[in-house]
Amino acid sequence: MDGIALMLTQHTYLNLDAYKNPDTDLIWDHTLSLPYSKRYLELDGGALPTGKILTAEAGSVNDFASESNFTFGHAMKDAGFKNNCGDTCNGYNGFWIFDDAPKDAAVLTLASEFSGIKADLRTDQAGVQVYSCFWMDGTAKLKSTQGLEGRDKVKSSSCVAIEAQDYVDGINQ
Amino acid sequence: MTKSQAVNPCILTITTAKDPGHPVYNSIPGRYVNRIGKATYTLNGTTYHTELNDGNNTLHSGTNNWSYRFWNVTAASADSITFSISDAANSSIGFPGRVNANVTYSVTNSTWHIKMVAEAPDTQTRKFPEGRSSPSLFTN
Repeated sequence: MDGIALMLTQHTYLNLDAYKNPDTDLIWDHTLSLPYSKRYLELDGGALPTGKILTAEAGSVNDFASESNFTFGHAMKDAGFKNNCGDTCNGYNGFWIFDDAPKDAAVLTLASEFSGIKADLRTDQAGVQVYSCFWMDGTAKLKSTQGLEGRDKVKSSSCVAIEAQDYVDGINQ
Repeated sequence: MTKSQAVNPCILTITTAKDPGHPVYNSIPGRYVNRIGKATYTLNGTTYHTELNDGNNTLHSGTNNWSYRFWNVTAASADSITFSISDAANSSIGFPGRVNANVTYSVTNSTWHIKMVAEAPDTQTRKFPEGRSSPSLFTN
């Protein structure tokens, strides 16, 4: 046979507060920085890339490059936040491109002021899919070491998956 | 991570093995992650149809993707563990050819390393968007 399709990633979901921030169990107070990623892939209503590469205007919904301390939810009140991750999906499930990142540079930084935890991503991949857990339906249980009294489920928009990978649907585009 | 002891509680995990709808917690959702548009692709002149499991598209190779499989632990040390899978042809619909893959997790100081290696022993030519190939790959 002539070849196979292969593309891998690692798909851990994170909440750097372990769901223990009494103010919120949502992910939006975390900060997210993508210093080499002004460019990202346009999505259609099914969260599939259209093939078009867009450049985020400073301060716009998909901009995590122009400042290093944007909160993940910095654009929550922007009209474009709605349906940004596909039809009826509010938040993020898109792919950002690493442009001209030096080798072993931190291409993504997720941090939480509440816990003091900062996570840097270093990778040899072309970009990163960032998914803000919109489709979590609140039925999955947290671990016993997570959460607070009365808070033991994974709610919508309470976590983030950070998936270093190659261009989404690259086999077709 | 600046507080390594806090890493574990920050990661969501599956609490039961019987969880057919789990949202790919912590897994390697291969062999072709994310979406394949219209559940079809063409490679070297052959068109393949994959499983529609996300609207009009395929997500993470379908409902039998690698995050639902059993992996073998093939190496372990005090600070690392390696999981291995041998993914037979068409175990996920529309993916011909066997793929053998290893994923090694290791921890050094406050860094969590994730290394993935995959090889396709049945193929003569390879198109690997990801994974480091071993020399044995080139012998077919």
